[in-house]
Amino acid sequence: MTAAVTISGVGHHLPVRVEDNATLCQGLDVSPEWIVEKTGITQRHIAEPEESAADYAVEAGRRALAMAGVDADEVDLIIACTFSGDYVFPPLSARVQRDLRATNAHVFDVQANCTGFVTGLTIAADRMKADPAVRHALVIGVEFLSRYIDRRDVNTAIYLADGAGAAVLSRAADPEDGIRSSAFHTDSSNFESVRMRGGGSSFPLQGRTFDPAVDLMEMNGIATWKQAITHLPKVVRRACEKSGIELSTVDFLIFHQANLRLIEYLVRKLGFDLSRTYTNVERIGNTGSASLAIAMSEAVQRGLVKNGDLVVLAAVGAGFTFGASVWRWQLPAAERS
Amino acid sequence: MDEQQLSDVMATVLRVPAEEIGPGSSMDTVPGWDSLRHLTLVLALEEEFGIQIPDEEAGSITSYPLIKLVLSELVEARA
Repeated sequence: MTAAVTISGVGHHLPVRVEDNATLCQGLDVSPEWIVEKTGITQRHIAEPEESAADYAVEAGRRALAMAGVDADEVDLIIACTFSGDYVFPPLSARVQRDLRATNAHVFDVQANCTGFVTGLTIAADRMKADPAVRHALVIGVEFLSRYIDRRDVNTAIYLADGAGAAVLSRAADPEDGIRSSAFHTDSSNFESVRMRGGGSSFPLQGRTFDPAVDLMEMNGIATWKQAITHLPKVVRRACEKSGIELSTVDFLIFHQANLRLIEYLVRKLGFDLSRTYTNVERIGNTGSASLAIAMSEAVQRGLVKNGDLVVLAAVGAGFTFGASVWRWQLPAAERS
Repeated sequence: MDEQQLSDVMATVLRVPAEEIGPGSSMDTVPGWDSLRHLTLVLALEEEFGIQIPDEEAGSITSYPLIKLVLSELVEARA
């Protein structure tokens, strides 16, 4: 059996409701133009109160499986990457397994904040390489971040949004295809800079009333950008080195959609122009660990990634953690269409 | 390293008169020098001086003296 593991299907699901900057700014002391200048974001998708993160994960997963041509009962592993799932436990991936009727799948969730999807893809590929019994894996990034932010907090409200993206991993015939290598790094010196404390065991909900100071997300933007520009380019370079390729031979890069200005910087700092990346943060916002999955799904839909391309996926998340993986793109559905 | 060239680049990116750029200029003292402008500044300095600012330095050169120090070393190394 080949050791190569490729992405065989992608899909995503977004809320219908869209909040534009003008609406958001009714509760903020900044203008819509200011938000665009600083972040590139013009609007964000917000889920309805009756919807759940698992609903979105299931829908994105169903679409990815359809593109891959894989039945749910052929999936032996489901990983959900999230930090805003339905419950503290059980894992959201278990509800995905139930609703997709993926009865053969082992499931678990990955919490690596916005680096979750790169982490989840790498873990799934490693599992498939280590265990021939794992036929296909479904990796989902999903967030309902609107449930954890104060819409009057400019540090979080202008960015964060809801959505889900998914990828199916399958085996590839050519050992050169699929994931080549991943690289990760953690710098925990700014551990407290981006956090959500309420509900954790240090800030249990029991015996107290809602306290916005601890029960909503906090984000120190300065710490985030410093960490990102210091470590993310290095992690991308290291993933390329581990893959045995020159960075300059990469055809396409997809980043966690945190901030358009940060992505523009990273692309140029790595020696590329913006034609070599895809961004959707402008109209979707920052959907945490879902953002890379959604961007990848849209890039495939738009035909921006071709079989044979060397593709880098890269993300930065709270903690701070950094991850990048290099793939030689081989999507079987692209050959069939 | 041409300090006038450095002041001109910083003034253009930070949108302040060049004569206001000097040893006292930093992210704390120049109102327009925020994280976004800093990203633009790093890329502009690289282009203007034909150098590559290391990732470890990119987030740390947040004042005129620090930029001058790092740029001087990079320009000298290039020569």
